[in-house]
Amino acid sequence: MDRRKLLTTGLKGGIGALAFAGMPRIPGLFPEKSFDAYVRMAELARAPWSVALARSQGLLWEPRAEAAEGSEYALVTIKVLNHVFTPLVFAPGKIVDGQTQLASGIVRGSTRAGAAQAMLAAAGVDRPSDRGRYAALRLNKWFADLLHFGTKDGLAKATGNVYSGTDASIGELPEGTVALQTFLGLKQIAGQNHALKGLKIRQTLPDLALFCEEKGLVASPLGISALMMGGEYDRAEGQLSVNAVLAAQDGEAIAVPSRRIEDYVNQLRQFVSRSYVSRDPLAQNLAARFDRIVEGDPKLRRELLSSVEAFKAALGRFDTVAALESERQVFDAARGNGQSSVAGKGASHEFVAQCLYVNECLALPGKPLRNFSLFLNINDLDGKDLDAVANNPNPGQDAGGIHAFSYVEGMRQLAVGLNILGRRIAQGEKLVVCVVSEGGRGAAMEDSKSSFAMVMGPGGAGNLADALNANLTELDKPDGVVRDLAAENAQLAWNSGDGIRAKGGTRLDGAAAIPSVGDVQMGVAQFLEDKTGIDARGGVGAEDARFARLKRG
Amino acid sequence: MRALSVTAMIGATIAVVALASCRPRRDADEGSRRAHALDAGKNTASGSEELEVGSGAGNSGKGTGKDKKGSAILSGGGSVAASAVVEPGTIEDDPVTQKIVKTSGGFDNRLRVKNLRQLRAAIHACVGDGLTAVDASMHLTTAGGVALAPPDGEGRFAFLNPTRFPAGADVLDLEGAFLLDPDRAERFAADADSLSAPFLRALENVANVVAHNCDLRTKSCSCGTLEAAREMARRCLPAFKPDEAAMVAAIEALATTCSAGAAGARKAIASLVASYAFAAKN
Repeated sequence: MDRRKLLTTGLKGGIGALAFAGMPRIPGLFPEKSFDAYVRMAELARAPWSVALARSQGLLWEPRAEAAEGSEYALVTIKVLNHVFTPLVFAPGKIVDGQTQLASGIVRGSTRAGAAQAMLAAAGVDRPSDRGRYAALRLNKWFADLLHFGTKDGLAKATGNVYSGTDASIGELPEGTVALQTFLGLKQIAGQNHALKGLKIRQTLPDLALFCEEKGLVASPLGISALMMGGEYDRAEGQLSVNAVLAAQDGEAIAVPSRRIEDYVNQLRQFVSRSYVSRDPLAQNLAARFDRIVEGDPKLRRELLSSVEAFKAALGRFDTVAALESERQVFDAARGNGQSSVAGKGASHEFVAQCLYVNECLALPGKPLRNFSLFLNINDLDGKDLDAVANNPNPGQDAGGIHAFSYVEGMRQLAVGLNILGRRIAQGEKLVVCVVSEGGRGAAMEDSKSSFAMVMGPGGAGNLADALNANLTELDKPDGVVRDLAAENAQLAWNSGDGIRAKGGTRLDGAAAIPSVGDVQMGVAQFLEDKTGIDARGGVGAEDARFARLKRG
Repeated sequence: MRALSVTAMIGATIAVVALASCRPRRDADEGSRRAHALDAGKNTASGSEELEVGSGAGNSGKGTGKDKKGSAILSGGGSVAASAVVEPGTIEDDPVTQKIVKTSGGFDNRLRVKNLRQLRAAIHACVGDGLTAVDASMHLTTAGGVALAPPDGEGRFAFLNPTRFPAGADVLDLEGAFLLDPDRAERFAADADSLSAPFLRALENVANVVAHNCDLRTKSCSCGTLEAAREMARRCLPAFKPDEAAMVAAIEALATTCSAGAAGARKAIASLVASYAFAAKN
C-alpha cells in the first residue's frame, strides 16, 4: 500500500479518530487491548492533521509498511587506506597501437613491485586493458581482468583460481546493467595523510553513508554497518586507527563504530537464539511498550523483531562469510599476496569477505541492512615496494596491531570485491558502490596528495553509464603529469565525463573545477537525489554542495 | 470525573514519592560530574561537540510527555535528547551543563544512551547487585539438547553461546564494545540519530542475563502486581513520569506479563531492561 492509499484509508477513519484523540488522557482508562490505540491517539493529538489521519489507521498497518516507503537504494562506501597508487589500477600515458608510451624513468605499475614485478608485468599492469570497456576507463589490463572475471589471476573462472567462498558470487561482469565510472586527479578533503577524516564528504559534513542515511537517500531499517579489516590502519595524521562512520563535526567524531564481520555475526547468532525478552509481535510486545515511553513508534524494535527469522535462516551463510575473515592464503611472493604482521603467511580474505557479507545482507527478505561502510587496509609503504608488508607505524601505535594487505593484494581484492558487488547490481539490486582513498602514493612510494575514486551502480537508461573523468590532455601524454599522478600538480580539471558542477548543476571550469574526493561522493548523493526525489543538498552551503556529476545512461 | 481525580492524585503521589526518594547521592553525583567534566574538556579540546548550558529542572508537572522534536520529557524536567549526565537511579535537580551531539548539520541526537558505568548502576538500582554475571546454567549446549529444554521450575532456560559468554564473565564487560564506543568516553548515537541495532541486541543480552539471575523471591525482582510493577518501574526508570500514558500502559503490561508465573516474571524483567527507556540516559 503506497502512502496515498494509506492516507485515503486513514481519512475514512479520521473523524472518529480525532474524536478519540480529543478525549482526556486518563491513565488506566483504556482496557489492555487498547493500550496501543491509546498511545497512538495520544500522539495523534500532537501530530499534523494529515499525518494524524494516516496514523489513525496505525493499528491496521503491516509492520513493514513504513520501511517500504523509503528509498530502495543501497549504498556501499569502500574506504582505502593508506593511499592508492594510480598506476597499479590505471594505464596512463600516450596510447600507440594499444600500448602506453611513457618517457624513460617514469614509474609504471610494475616498476616498484618487488617480487611481484614479473607477474604484474606479464598480467598487463603497464598497458591498457584489451577489453574496450575497461580501456575506455583507462584501467590497466591486470586490474581490469581481475575486475571482469572476479578471479585471483584475472583469467576465466576455473578450478583453483578463485578466492575461498566466492565461487558462487563471481563471474564475468556484465556490460550495460552495471556501470563503472573512474575519477582521476582528486585532491584531499582535509589536506592530511592517513586520516579517516579525509574520507568524509567535506570537513564539516559527515561520511557519505551517514549523509545519505540522514537525508533519506538510503533508508536502512537496521542502520549503517561499518566494517573493519586488518586490526588497525597506520593512522599518522588521524585520531582514529580503525574505520568508523564519521559525524559532521570538524574532525573524527564517531557516528557509527566499526566491527569485524565475526563480531556482527556472533551477535546475530545470539540474537536469533532463545531470549527471555519478549518476542511477541510489536503490538503486544512488552519491550516495545517500554520503548514507547521514549519513542511513540519504536521503528527499530519493529525492524529487529521482523528480522529475526530472516537472520536465523541466513545464519549458516553468514557463518561461512565470517570464517573467511581469518582464513589465510598460501603465501606466494611472486603474487605479492602478503599481509603485515603475519610473516610467512598469505593474506586473509578479509576484504573479499566484507563484500560477500554485503551481498548476504542484501539478500535478506525486506533488506533490513542497506548501508555499508567497508574498509580496505593496505600497507603504508613510505618508500617501500608495492609487495612490501613490513609496518612502519605512527609513533605510539603498535606495529603488531596493523594487519594490512600489500598494495598488490589490496588492489587484487578490491577488484574481486567490486566484481562480487557488481554482479549483485547486475541481478537488479539498486546498489551504488563508491571507492575512495584519502590520498595518493607518489612515484617514490611516498605519501602524496592526489588520488582516484571509482563509482559503480545500475547501468542503462535512467541510470548510470560508464565514464572516465580525467584530464585526458595530460593523461595521454608520454611525459609530464604522468610522472607522478599522486602529486599536487596532477589535480587538474577534467575534460572528459560530465565534470564538476555547482550546487545548482552549472558546469564549472578552470581552477574552480579541480575535483576532490568529496566532490565524487557528493556526486553519488546527487545521483540518489535524482532517483529518490529528495533534496538532500538543499541545506548544504553552495561550496560544499558542489558535485562531480555522474554520467547518466 | 471522580475517577480522573483519583487517578491524578495517585499519579501526583507517586511523583512526589519518586522525587523524595531519589535525591542524588553525593558520591555518585560527584563522580558523575567528574566524568562529565572530562567529557566536556575532551570535547571542547577537539571542538567536536556543541556544549550548552541549560536547566534540567523547572517544568515537571506540566510536560505533555513529548517535546516538539518528539523527545520524551523527563519527570525531573528537560528531555532525553538534551539530558544531563546523571547517575542512574537519581534525578538531577540542579541546572547542569547539557551536551548536544550533532551528527550532521541540522540533526541533533534525539536519544542519548547510558554508558557502561551508568548501565551497571541502573541495573543495580533496578533489580539489585551482582546480576550481570554469566554462569553455566545459561549456556546452550547442542541444538537438540539443552537448547530445546523447557524452562525449569524457576522459569529459567539456557540461552547463551558459551564461546562468546564464558562462565564467570560479566555480561556488561563482554558487551562493552557494542554498548559503548571504545574510542570515546561518551558513546554517540549509532544509527544517525537514534539507537543502533547492535546496541539494542547487546542490551538484550544483558537483559537476559539479568533476568536469568534475578531471584524472584526478592522484592527487587517482584512485579506481578500493579503496585509491585509500579515500584519496579519507579526504580528502573526513575527519570520518566509515572503518570504518562505510555508509562502507565507499560506498567500495566509489565504487571500482566510478570504475573504469569516464573517464566512470565523473567520475560517481564528482561523486556524492561532491554527497552529504549532503560537504555536512555536519565
